[in-house]
Amino acid sequence: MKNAKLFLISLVFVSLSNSVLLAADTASVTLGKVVELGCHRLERLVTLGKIDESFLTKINSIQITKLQPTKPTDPSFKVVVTQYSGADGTANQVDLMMDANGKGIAQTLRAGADAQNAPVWNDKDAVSLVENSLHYIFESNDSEIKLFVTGLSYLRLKQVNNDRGEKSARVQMNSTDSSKILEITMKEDGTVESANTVNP
Amino acid sequence: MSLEIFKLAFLLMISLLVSSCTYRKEKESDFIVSYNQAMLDKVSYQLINQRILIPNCISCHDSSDNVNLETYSSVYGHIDKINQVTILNRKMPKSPYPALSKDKLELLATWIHVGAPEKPLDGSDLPPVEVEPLEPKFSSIKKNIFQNKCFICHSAGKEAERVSLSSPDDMIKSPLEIVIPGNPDESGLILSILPGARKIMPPKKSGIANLKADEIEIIKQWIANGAKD
Repeated sequence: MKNAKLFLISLVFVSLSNSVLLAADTASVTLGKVVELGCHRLERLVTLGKIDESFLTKINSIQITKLQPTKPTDPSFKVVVTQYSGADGTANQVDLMMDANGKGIAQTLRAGADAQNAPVWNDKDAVSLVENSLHYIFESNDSEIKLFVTGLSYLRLKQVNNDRGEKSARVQMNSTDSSKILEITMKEDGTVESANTVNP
Repeated sequence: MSLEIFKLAFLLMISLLVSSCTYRKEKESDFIVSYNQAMLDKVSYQLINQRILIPNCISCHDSSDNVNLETYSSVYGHIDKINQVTILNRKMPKSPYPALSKDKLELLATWIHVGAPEKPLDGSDLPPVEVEPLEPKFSSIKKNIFQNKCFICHSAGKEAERVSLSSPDDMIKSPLEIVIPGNPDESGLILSILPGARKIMPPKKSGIANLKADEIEIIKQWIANGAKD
């Protein structure tokens, strides 16, 4: 009887510790992929009317943090999407909590002032431009660019003029796997014009 | 002066040479469509519809903004254009849809050659087409909707393979929440096919017709019922 109890306790202990380990270790997607899934989640939340459409048009930056889940239901990633800041310096922000596969499990809206001086995009919206830059790095075979797929930690979208004076979109990416910054410049339709790594 | 004329003549010769090479290459890689003599008095709209229009054309040419090819009168009204873009120019079906096989091209050419009749000239007829009703089951949705309008991009090796629609499990497990059993209103599949969707599927650039209201309703029912096999 005592042995049976001991066996049961060990069984429970083993299964609990396994599930904790499993929760911490099953992050099967890259950080870049989670950010892309975060963009899709953003679009879904707008479609469902849970967040404002300005999150598609006025994005300024996206930050991703890998979390340390202690149970299977805990999120594995936190993706923070920030709009251009408003008159008082605050900005609308949404925190997306994602599971180990990059599926959205919760979101928290942090209201700030309405974005001021956010660039106007004439073809694709801001979130689609960010997605295009991510698709570009996923498809790249360049080993230096791949570091931004595996270790992406932050990206920022801004409007610049290219060599011909045309309005372009530039996404700057930081990676925990690289000391450099990746700059991807696109036309307004999302076509990539250049991708370069630069020193910070 | 004479040197310039010589240069011009030389350039003209080179360009003529290049264009003739291209022309020959096109001719060699092509085949000539002939008529299927055995089918001259047997071919009919019904046969063409079953063998060619439904499997190859209707996914784009239904009641969408494109030319409608769902009825005999509509097809007959566009017969010259069909002949031109399908048989003479081979511009249809458009990529990514595969080109018509030689047999299908010959059958279509034969039908047009005999005047595109609704019924066979010998008076015979095919048995009526048994239309399988669309049901809120994955097998039915897959066969009647996904096969025609989605798998051309959403399948292995194709442009949108990462968004798999090949099984209920794939769609339920996807981080994109393609299907949320019991909740059609928040399922990505439904949100992307509704008229007015931001990035509507099939995408406009594909030329594939949007899903019809009854097709959307059936998919909704299937998801509401738990999205099982």
